[in-house]
Amino acid sequence: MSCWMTVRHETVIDYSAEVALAHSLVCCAPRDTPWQSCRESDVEVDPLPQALSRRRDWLGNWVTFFSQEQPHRRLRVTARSLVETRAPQLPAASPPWEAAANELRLFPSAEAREAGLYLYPTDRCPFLHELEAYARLSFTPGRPLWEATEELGRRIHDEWTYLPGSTEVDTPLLDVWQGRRGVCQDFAHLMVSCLRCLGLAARYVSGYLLTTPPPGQPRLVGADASHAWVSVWLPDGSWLDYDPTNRRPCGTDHVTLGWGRDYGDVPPLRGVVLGGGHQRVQVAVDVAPVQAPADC
Amino acid sequence: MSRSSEVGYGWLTELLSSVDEPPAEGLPLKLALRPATLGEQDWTLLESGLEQRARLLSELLRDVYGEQTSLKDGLLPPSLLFNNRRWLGPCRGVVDGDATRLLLYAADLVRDTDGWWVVRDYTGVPPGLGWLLDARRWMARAYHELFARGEVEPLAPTLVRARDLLAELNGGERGVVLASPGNAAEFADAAALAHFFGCTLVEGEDLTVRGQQLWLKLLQGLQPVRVLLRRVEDARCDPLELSAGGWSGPSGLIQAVRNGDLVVCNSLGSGWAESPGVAEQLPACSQRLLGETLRLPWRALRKGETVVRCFLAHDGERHRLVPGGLRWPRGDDGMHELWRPARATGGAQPPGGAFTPEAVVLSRGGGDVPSRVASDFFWLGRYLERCEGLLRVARVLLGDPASESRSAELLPGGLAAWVEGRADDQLQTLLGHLKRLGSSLRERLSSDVLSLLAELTERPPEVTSSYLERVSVPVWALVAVARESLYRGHGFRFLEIGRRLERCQATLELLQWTTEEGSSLPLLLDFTDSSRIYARRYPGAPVWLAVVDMLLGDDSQPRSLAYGLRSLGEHFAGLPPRHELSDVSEVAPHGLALARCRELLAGWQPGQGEPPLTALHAALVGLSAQLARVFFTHVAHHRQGAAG
Repeated sequence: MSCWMTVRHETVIDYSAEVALAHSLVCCAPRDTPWQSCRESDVEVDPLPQALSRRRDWLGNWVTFFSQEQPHRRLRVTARSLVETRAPQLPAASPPWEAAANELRLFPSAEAREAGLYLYPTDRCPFLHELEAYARLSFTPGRPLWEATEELGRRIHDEWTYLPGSTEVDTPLLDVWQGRRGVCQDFAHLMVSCLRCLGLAARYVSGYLLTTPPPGQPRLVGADASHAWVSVWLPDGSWLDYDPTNRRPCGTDHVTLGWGRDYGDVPPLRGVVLGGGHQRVQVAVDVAPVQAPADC
Repeated sequence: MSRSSEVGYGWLTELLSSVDEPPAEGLPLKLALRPATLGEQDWTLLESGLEQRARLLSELLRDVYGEQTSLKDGLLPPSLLFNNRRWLGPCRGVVDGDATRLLLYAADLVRDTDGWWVVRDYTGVPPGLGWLLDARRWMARAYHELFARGEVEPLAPTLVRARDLLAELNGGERGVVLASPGNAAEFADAAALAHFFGCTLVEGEDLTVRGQQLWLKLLQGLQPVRVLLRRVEDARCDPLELSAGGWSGPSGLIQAVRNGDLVVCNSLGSGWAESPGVAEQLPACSQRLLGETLRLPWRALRKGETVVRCFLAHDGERHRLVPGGLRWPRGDDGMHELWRPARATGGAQPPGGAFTPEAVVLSRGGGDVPSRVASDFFWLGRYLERCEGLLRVARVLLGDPASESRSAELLPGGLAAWVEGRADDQLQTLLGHLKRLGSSLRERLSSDVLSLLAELTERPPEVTSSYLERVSVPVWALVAVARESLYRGHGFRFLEIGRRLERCQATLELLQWTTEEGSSLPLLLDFTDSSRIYARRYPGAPVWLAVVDMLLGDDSQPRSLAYGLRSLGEHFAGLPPRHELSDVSEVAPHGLALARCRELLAGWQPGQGEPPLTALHAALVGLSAQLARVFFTHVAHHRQGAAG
C-alpha cells in the first residue's frame, strides 16, 4: 500500500529595503527513509543565484546552498518533488521503555551511541523538571515504549490548544508549557523534550501533510504549511514517528523532509542578508496525490 | 645566566601593558625582564610528550568530524560530542588537511614531584604565540650578547616551516589572511602573529563570500583568499551555518571550505578538542589510536601553581615544539619568557636573535587599502564635519558674544526644527563614533590624532559655553591633524570625500529649512561660517538671492555646493577605476551619481526659479550609497536576474 504525492513548497520574502548580498540554505528535497522514496526533486530560485550547490548536510538531509549578489527586494524559492510513501510498520508490541533508556545510558551498541545525538537538551528543547514529571504520567514502570509514546502524544494534543500565530519561531519552550498553546513546531519540541527528559532519544522531524485527504477522510491540521512531528528511537535501532498535532502515528500522508535535534537544525529556509530592512514572509505548501508513475 | 639589569624595564613593561583589557586566558600583562629556563632533560621530555599529544588530538579531531569510529567503538562517551557545544555538527564531513587541522597547538603545563602534567590544551585558537614572538624580540635586545653567541635556541626555524606551508597552500602568492576578532585584548597577540606569518590582519567585515569563494574586500576590488589563519572562535565564523553571533564573519565561509577553495586553520570545529572531558579520555585514545602510552597526562590545575605554556606548529610532516614558551609563577611578579638553551653551540645568530633581517623593499603609494578601512575613513570624515558643524550651531545659539540674544526658541520656525533634529545628545553620539573609528583606525592614524581623540570628554548634564569651547578645540585640531598628518593615499581621499559630502548635505539641509524671510538669513550665514565673507562682498542686511548664490553656485567659497562637487570630482579621479561594475557606460556608478549632481546644479540659474534643493539632496544621498556599493560592499550595480 503506497501513496504518491507531489510537493510544492514556495517561500516568498519581501524586503522593505534592498538586499545587497544574500546567502541561503534551503531544505530542498524529502530524504529517503525506510517508508519513503523521493523520485524527483528540483528547486527554483529567483533572482537567479550566482552560486548554487546541492548536497547532503551532516544529518543526511538534502540542502541547497545559494547566493545572490545583485541588489533585490524580493526572494522567491520554490521546491518541488515527487514522493512515494508507504505505511510504516507499527509494532504490535514494543519493549518496556526502560530498555531503550538503559541502552542510551550504558551504550552497549554502536547504534545506541549514534542515537546519542538525539538524547541531550538543546536551545529549543531544554530539560525542564515540569516536563519530566509530565512525561512520567505516561511512562510508568515497565510500560511498552510505543504505547507510552502514543499516550504522551495524545495528552499533549488534548491539553494544548493548536493556535496558529500564538507563538513565534523562537518562543521559549517554557512559554509554550505555561501558555498551553502553540503550533505544530511547539507540539513537536514539547514532545521531544519530554522524551529526552526520560533518557530516550527523540528527533524533531520537519515535513508536510497531504493537503487534500482521500474522500471521506478529514483534512489534517497544518496541511497548508510546513509541518513538524516527532520520531522516537527503539532499542532495535529503528525510529517510529508520532504526530502530536494530529493525535496519531504518522502514516502515508506524512512526507518527511528532514530531521534534526530541533527546529534549528532543519529550518525549511535560512539565510543571512546584507541590508533588507524588515521582511515579510509568505509560505505556500501544496501536497497533492498523484497516480503512481508508469514504471512503478 | 644571572644578569641583573633594570635597563629598559620601564618602557618594556609599559609597552606590553598597553592593552586595555586582560589578554585571553588570563595571561599576566607584565613581562619580567629575567627569563626562565628549563634544562635540556625537561625540554626533551616536553618535546616528545607534546608532539605525541598534538598528533593524538589531531587524529581525534579527524575522527570526530569524520568517521566517528572512536564514538562507535565506545572509546569516547557520546555526551562528549553530542552534549557539548564545542562539537560543531555542521563541520562534520568538511574535509581538512592533516597539517592545517591543528596547525598551531598550545598547552599549559605544571610540574610537581611526580613530573610534568598538562593542565590545559588549546586546539582552537591557541593564545599567546604572538606574545611570545614579541617578547623574544625585546629579550634578544636586552640580552644581545647571549643571543649573539648563539646560547639560546631560536624560535623562528620551527615556525618558518609552518609559514612556508601556508604560503605553499596559497599557491606561493600573497593573500594569506589572519582573521582577528578585532578586540583590544586580542590585538597585540594577533598582530605579532600576522607579522611573523606575513599575513594580512583582517576583521570579519573585510571578508566576503562570493560564488563559493572567500574574498578580501579592497578598494581596488575583491582579492581571492585561499588560506585563512583564524583567531576567531570557530562557532562565530559563519553566521549561516554556525549560529553563534558576535563576530560579523562572512556568511558562507564553511561552504567555501567545502568547495575546496579555502583552507582554514586551525580547522573549523577544532576547538572541541580543548573542551572539558576530552583530556581525561586521552590515555585510552592514545593506546587505541596510536598504539602508544600517553607520555604527558592531564590533571586539574591547583591554586598557585607555576604554569608553563608551550607552543607547537605543524611543519607539513609533523608537529614540532617551539623551543621557547611563557611561564607565570605564583604570586604576581609577571610573566617570564622561557628559553631553551642552544643544543649545539657555535653558529652565532644575527643580532635581533631569532629574526633574519630581510632586505627592505621600498614601497611608495600606500598599497592595498581594505574596504573596511576606507569606509572607516569616509565616516571619520563625515562625523568630523558633522561634529564641527553641530558645535558651531550650538555655540551660535548659546550666545556667541556676537549674537547674544539668540536662543533656540527665538529661531524662525524652520530653523528651530532643524536644530531640534540635531539636539545635543547627538553630540554625545558623534563623539562616540569618532572615538570608535579612531580606535579602529589606530594603526593608520598618527599618535597625535589618538591623543586628541582621548581629549573628547563626556558631555556634562548642562551644555555650557565653556564645555563647547573645551570640546571644540580638540575637534578642530583633529580636523587639522587628520588632514596634515595623513598619508596622501586612499585613506586620506575617503576622509576628504566624507567631509565634502557631509558639508554639501548640511548646506542643502540648512537652505531647505531656511525661509526667505530676512531674519533667518544671518543665522544661516553664521551656521555655515559665511557671515564674514558675505559682509565683505555685500553691504547691508543679507538678501536671499545673494545668500543662495554664495552657498550653492559660487565655487570660490569652500562652503558652497559648487566647491564641494568640484572637490569630490578631484578626489574621485584619484580612486581606483571600477568600470567593470557598470553595465551602461565607462563611468563607474559613483561617477555617474556625481555627474547627476553637477547637472542639477548647472541647470539652476540664480534669479530664475527655485533652486532644486530637494533633488540635489536626494542625489547626494544616492552618491553616498553608490560609493558604499562600489568600494565598501562590492555589490554589482543593478544587474537583475530573471524578472521577479
